[in-house]
Amino acid sequence: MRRALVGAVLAACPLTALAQTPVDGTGTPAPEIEAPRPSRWGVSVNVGAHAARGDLSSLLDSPISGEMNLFRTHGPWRFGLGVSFGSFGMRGTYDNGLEWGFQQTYLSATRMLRAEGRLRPYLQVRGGLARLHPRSHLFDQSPLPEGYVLGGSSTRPANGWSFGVVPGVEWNLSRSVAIDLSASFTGFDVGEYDLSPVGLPPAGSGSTWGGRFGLRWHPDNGYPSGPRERVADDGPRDAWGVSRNYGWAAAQVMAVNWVAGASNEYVRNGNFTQTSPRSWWRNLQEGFTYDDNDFRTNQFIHSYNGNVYYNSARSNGLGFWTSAGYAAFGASMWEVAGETHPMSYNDLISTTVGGITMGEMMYRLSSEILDNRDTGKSRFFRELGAFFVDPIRGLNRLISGRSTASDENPTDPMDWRPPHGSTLLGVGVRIIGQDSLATDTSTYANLFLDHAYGSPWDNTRRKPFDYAEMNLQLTPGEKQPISILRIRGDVWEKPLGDQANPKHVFALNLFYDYMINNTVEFGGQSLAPTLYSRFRLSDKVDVTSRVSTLLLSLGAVNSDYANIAQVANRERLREYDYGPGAGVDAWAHLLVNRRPLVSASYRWQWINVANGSLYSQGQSGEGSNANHYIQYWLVRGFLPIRGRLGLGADYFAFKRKSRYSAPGFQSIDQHNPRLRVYFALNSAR
Amino acid sequence: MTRSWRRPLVALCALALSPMASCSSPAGPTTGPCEELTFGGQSRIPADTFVVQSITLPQPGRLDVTLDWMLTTNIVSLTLAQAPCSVEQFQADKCNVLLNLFPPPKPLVGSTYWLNGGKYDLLLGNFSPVEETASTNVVFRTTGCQIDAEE
Repeated sequence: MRRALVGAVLAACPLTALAQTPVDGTGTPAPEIEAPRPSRWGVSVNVGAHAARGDLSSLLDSPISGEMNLFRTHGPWRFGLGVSFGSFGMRGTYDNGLEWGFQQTYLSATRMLRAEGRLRPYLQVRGGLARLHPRSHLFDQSPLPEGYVLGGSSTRPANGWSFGVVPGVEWNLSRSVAIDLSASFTGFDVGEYDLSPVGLPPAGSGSTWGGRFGLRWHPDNGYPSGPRERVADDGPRDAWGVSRNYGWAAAQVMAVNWVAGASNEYVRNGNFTQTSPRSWWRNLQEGFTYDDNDFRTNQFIHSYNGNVYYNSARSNGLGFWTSAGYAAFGASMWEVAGETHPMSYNDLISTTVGGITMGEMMYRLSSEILDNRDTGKSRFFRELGAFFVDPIRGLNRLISGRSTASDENPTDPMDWRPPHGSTLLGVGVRIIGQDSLATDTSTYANLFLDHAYGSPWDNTRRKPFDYAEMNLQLTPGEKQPISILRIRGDVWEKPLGDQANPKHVFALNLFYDYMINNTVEFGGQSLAPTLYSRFRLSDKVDVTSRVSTLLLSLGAVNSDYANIAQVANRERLREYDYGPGAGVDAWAHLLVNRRPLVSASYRWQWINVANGSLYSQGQSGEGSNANHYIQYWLVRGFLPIRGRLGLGADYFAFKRKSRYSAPGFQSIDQHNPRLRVYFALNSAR
Repeated sequence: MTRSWRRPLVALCALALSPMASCSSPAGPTTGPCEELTFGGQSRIPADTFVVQSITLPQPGRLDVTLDWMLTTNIVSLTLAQAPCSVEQFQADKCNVLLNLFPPPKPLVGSTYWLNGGKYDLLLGNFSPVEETASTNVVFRTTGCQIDAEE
């Protein structure tokens, strides 16, 4: 009992005890506390099988669930927030139909009945929101809701409350991990649901009871993002003073997926979000395929999500390669458990490879914005800006107190603001035409940012993405507001010749390409052996170049016959092809005082279609082939007016030659020129 | 150790368990007699065009659909959607698509999950440069009919 009381007291004030340097009665700092800190935060996951009773059990039975809970410990209590992704099957005749999703979002209070020993019984009560949402087309609304668009749910969800009691026991395997066995009794009421399609009276309440199996985990001893202050049992820290939190990184990746799942259900009301262990198992059984989602979802949103997974790890003190593994983990988890649609190759590659490339670029950009020594409004806006660029990093800084503390900045400028780099920020107009700038022209306002982090010739360090480039174009009113995002970063570099002042640098690049407008869709992720060269014409004038050979893992390009693509769970006609390929990408700049005044670029890309404009590919002797040959080039001039401000213009042309062997398919040549005229700030370090 | 937490916890447990006082297990859905309906016929589909056929299901049931066409090299598709679903609505992603079959194989064969009674549209698409003649066979079975395999 006495030990339990001491434990409870320690648990009640763990941080305050450790955040300050203890002082004894003489005013002399006391030695740091060596005892392990009581765990403060934790997560638990479990799956369960249940039985159903009550009104709704006239139709629904065999409930199962998968849950994730986040909790904070206060002495013998745990207070938490959880999401339960469950589902019911249907009874009798309908037992082989689609299931009903049953999602619960709840607050919980858990009383640990024993704080010591290997077996620790507990009692939990929980209550919150419940949502019952049929996937079965028996309950499709007729007519469909006003403004229905594919991807939205065709059935009506029912919202209400649920309340539950969970007695269980934890079997501690270590200080941070325990096996969790529990029973669960849940009552819920979601309002009356019309069951007339199956000849039953309306029903809206019920109860479930059953057993659950899971894990309780105090990642990294229960401290998210590590304490800001250094403590006795401190491990290695990154340049920003964050200790390595492998567990919290994993917990955040899972939390991102589960929050995304809950918000897709509640906010988007999607037709793919009624996930539960039923859909997880079905997805694993069906395996990977291709999907028919729109271009933006597959080539941008998925990569953005991958960037969030990546930065869950990166902002928890982990390095590039380890964080890359977390991006793959998050992507795989989403494909299995994040949606009811089958898993797809294109999502996995876009989320993982695109996510790594975008993720490290966003991490570097947010590092350039942050300043740990700044104060007041300036500090607030720096933290806010970094949050927008890298939200999960911003969240972790907020949780750990780093966003408001006055800490040291990284000692190596390569981790913060590299001594070399350039930025071109432009505002103007963009004109795009069909075949020529005089045909089918459309004009849009245009905002763009070209940014280079570091320099392949001058960098004092050569870690992944110590040199990286990004081109971002925003075009309000176009098909999508973000019309271009290209990111290139070095994952490996080797100076050739003079190591201290190289003229040439060989590197391996990761490429992320995303381009979308009313006539063109093109994107993909590539690995690219690259040669950088710099020729000094005078003290102030340089010519630089980059030549990359592209090994395209999976490219996507608009195609004329892609709507026959073989996809699982087809709902729409996809307008673009998928396939691997190869290519060349080259840039050259004329720089005056390190600022590019004249630039030219060229890209040639071959995509061998693996999924899209193919008929019977791999299915019979009548299989066809399709190949796309893409070229685009750009010429740019910049005229300085005053200081960094200047007037710029660039001409860009996109060409696609598509060759199809399927009977009746015509070869297609597409040509879209584009002109941009703009005012820009052109700066270089 | 204080025991003051026990009373509210017991009260909360009682509250949670109270819905289970009505642990009723009501009777499930009943199964009617097995009824079958067959829709079908031949349609001429011009090149690069969709044609729409409407069907009405008198009550809940399932559909087994077969579509065949003349030339092996031609590409013909079948889409079943909740009515109304015009070609324009379908191309604008505004239809509730229930089944969407593309070759291979030829003929196309597919089954739906349970559907409610009501109107549905079949969109037959010809993705080939020549006109096609497609034959559809749609069998409707009510809940009382034996289902051979799980969906």
